[in-house]
Amino acid sequence: MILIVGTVVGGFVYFLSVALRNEAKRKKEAEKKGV
Amino acid sequence: MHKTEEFSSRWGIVLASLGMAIGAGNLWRFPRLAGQYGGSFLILWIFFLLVWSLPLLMAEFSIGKKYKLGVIGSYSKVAGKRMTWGGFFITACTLGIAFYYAVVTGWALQYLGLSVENLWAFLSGGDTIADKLSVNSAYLELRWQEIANKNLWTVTLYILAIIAGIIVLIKGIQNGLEKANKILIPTLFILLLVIIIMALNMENGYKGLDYMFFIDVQHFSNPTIWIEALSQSAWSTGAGWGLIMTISSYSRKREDVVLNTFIGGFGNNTASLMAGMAILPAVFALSATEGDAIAFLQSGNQALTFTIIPKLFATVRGGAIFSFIFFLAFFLAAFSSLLPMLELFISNLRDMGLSRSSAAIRTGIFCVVFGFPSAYSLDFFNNQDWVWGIGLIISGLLIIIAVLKYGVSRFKRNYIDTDSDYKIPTYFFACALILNSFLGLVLIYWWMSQGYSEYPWFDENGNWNVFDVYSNASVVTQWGLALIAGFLLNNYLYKVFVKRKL
Repeated sequence: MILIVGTVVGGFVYFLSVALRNEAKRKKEAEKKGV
Repeated sequence: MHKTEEFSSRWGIVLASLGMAIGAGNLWRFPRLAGQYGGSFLILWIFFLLVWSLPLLMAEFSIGKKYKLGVIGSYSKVAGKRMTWGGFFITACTLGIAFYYAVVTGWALQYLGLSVENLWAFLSGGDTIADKLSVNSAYLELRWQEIANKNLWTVTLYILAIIAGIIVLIKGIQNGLEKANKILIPTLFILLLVIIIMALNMENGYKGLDYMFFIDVQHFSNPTIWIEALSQSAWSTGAGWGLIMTISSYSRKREDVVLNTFIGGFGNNTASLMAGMAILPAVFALSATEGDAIAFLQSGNQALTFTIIPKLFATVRGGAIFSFIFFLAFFLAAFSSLLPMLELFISNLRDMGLSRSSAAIRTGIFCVVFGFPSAYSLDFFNNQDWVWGIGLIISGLLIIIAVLKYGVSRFKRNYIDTDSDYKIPTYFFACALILNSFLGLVLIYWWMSQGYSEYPWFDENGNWNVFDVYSNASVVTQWGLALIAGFLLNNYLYKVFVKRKL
């Protein structure tokens, strides 16, 4: 159960968190450029 | 009409992808298969997410993002003028599904209404479903037969579901689709979590989890489980339907392809697991024996959802609340998937030069007219589900053909890698697509050879058995009509949807 739930839910949470982090980085860069 | 609408942020497109993918199949088909076959099925289902679904979704997402046209136009741009008919077939197939999917959304609304009525009766001391079952144990089966055939409420509610969808979509991508999904998807996940907690608190509910996650290695040598896992992954994620191609046509200019697709795919599978972890414990907890529970799970999507689940919930204290939450979740899942199906048609009509409102109203009318037979007759519904469900595999193969024709490495470099946060290895993408060409053909052969019809090709009088619900003759005839129409109209479709000259 842990393997299956971990892979699926863990994958979802991981990819979501990477996207959140990347969006925050992009927003910061855009603010620095004054866009 | 040039497409200028875009989602306001990455989350708009991610939520739309989740809404597209998380539908009735996550709640009524996945739990059945997970309960029947267990952990071995789940492992293969994850495998096929990576091998079949994600590569196809990435291909579709990147095509829609690049060309910002409806499916017919975008597909033609990649595959070439001579294959414009391929985009037409993909559109026709998903439209065929939209017509009866609106009916499923209508059923969901109807059962939500019944569960509200039941909840009110429970709270006010009136006649609940449990009371009605004690008078007539077949009450729910009879109710289902009434609802699924020649029922005025069913017809009314599927039309209302379409109208509601059109009202949302007329508002546009940001004010309509995006805003709707911001409410629908988080609510759906919360409801699934609530149902899981309620189900796992039932006595013997854990047995459902035991069945769901138990890995019997002998199952890996059973081809049926491989086919079921591949089919479930193919149908559930929406890969090859043209829906993610439609959604991504409204993406921002530099939208990531790979990571967004992975979020959508893994998010869809998370919702499925949650539904399984809610429904299986409930079915096992409330069934008299484990044998009964397994038999219920083998009874089919409609029977499980509309007769067995309400019947089981009626036997337990607080079951009225459980029923209400379940059918609310079912309705939200169905409606969130109906929206992109309607948008697919709207998007194509807009390429012909129509305004959003004009395209939306025409789409609504079209769906009401062509959805009526499925609302009126369960046999017709089942036929359409059969024909276009398998037809989706052909749609997937058409996407693969377009990419192979363009050149896999070149496609990955020009379409997928640009703007993507992650880079997937080219060899993985190429191998997956080539393997999927073979898998798609195996799936089509498998489903058509299932023998659900006594006379798959010719009836007992030797006539082409086109009017049988599950015959191969019916499947091939309807596909054939769509393909022939596409071939004959190929140049016209190119002129209208690619060159955009009416």
